[in-house]
Amino acid sequence: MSPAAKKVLVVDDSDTVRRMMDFVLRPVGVEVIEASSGFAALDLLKNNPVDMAIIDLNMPGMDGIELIRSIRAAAERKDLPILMLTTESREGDMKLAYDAGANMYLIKPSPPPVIRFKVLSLLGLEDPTAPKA
Amino acid sequence: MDRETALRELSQGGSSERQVAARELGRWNDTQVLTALVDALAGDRDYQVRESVADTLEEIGDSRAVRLMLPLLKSDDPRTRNMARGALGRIGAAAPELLFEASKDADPRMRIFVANIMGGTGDHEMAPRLIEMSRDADENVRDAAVVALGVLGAPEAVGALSRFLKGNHSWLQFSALDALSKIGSSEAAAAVLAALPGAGPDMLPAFVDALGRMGAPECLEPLVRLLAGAPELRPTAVRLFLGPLLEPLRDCRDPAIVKSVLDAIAQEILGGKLGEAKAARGVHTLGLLGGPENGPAILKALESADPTMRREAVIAAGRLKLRGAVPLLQMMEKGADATLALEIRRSLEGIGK
Repeated sequence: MSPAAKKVLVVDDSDTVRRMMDFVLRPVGVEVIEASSGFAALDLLKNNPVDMAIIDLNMPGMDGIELIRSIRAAAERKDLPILMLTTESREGDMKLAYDAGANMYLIKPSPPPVIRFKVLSLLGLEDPTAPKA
Repeated sequence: MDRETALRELSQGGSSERQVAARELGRWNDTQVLTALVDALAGDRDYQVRESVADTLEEIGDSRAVRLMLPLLKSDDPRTRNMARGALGRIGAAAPELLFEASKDADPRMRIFVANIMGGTGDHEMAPRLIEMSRDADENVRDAAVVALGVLGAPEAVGALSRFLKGNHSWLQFSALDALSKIGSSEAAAAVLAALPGAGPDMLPAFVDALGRMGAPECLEPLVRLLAGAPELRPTAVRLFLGPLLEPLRDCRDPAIVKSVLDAIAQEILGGKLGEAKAARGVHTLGLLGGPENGPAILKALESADPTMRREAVIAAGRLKLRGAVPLLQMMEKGADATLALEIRRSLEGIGK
C-alpha cells in the first residue's frame, strides 16, 4: 500500500508537536490525525480507523502509558502499531511503555528523518526520502 | 458531611463517595486536608476522583498545595506525575515564586514540566524566566521554554526566539517558528521574514506555514516571491491563502500579487489537490477576485462531484462572464434542483445567454 493511503494518529497535548509530526509526515503522503489527549484519542478511534499511533508519554489527564493499555484492551486494536515519542529517557519508562504494548520508543528530540523512517518502517513502507545505497 | 467523615471517605469510600468527599473537603484548607487531597491526586486509581480532587485544589488555590504537589513531578509513576502536572497547570499561578524555584531544579525533567506549567498559567510574569530557560543546557528544556513562550503569546520573547530560526536544529527551529506565529505581532512576522532567506529547503514549508498563520498582510508579498522560486511550496501556500491570509488577500491593493495568488489557487484546483472545503473557497475567491484567465479552474470545478463546489463554480462563471462555461451550464440547468437552476439562470444571464 502506498504512503498516501496511511493514517497516523498523533496524540500529544502540545499542538506544536502535533503540527511538527504533520510537517514531518505529510511530505511522504501520510495523513496525520490529531488528538490532544488520551480521552480524545480513544473517542476518535471508535469511529476513525487509523494505521498507527504516535503517542506522547507525559500528558495531563490520561498519560501515554494508560492510553496504550486502553488501546490494547480493545481486540480490534491489539495489533495497531504504536510509537511512543517522549522526552523521558529512563529505562523504567521505556519498560512501562513496552509492557503496555508500545512497538517502538523514541526519545525527543529525534531528528525528523529518523522519526519519518521509524514511522514508515512500522507501517511496512519504504522511506522515499531516505538516501539510496 | 463533616471534616472527619470526608477525610475517611476520601481514602476508604467507593468511587462516588470519594468524589463527593474530595469536593466537600474544599470547605477546609488546613494542612491535613491539603495533604490528604494531594495524596489522593497522586494515588487514587479512579480518574474521576482525581479530577474532583484537582477541582477542589484549584478552588483552594493555595501555595501550600503547589509546594506539596511539585515533588510529585519527579514520581516514577507516570500517572502521578501527570496528574500533578495537570493540577499544577491549574493552580501554579498561585505560587509563581515556587515555580521559579522549581525551574532551577537540577533534574531537567522537572525543568521541562515546570516550563510547561509556566506557559499554561497564562501569566506574562513567567516570560522573563522562560526566556532565560530558552538558554538552558538541556535542549528539551530549551524547547519546552520556547513552546511555553508561544503558549503565553509573549511579545517580549521575539528576540530570544529569533535566535533559533537559524541553524540546523529542526525541533527548536520548528518550535520557535510555531511560537512566533502564536505571538503574531508585527515584530514576530518581521523576525520570520528576516530569517526566511537563510531557511534550508527542508524547513521552508514550516516558515511559510508560520508566516501564513500570522495572517499578517505584510507576509503576502514575501510569500508570493518565495513561491515564484519554489513552486513545490504551492500546496502549503495556497492552504494559507485560502485560510488565515484570505482577508489580507481580499484587502490587497497590488494587482500583481493578487494575480499571482489567484494563479496559484487555480493551479491547485486544476491539480485536484485541495480538500473539498478549501477547493470550494478557492473557487469562490476566483469568482470574487479573478478574471477570465482563471476559466479553466472554474470549468473543472463545474464538473466536481461536490455540490458546494459546483454551486460556487456556477456563481463564479457568471461573475467572470465565462462564455466557455455556457454549454456546461445549460446542460447542468436541465438536471438541477430549483435553487441551483436559479443560480445557473442568473449566471447565464450575466454572461449574456
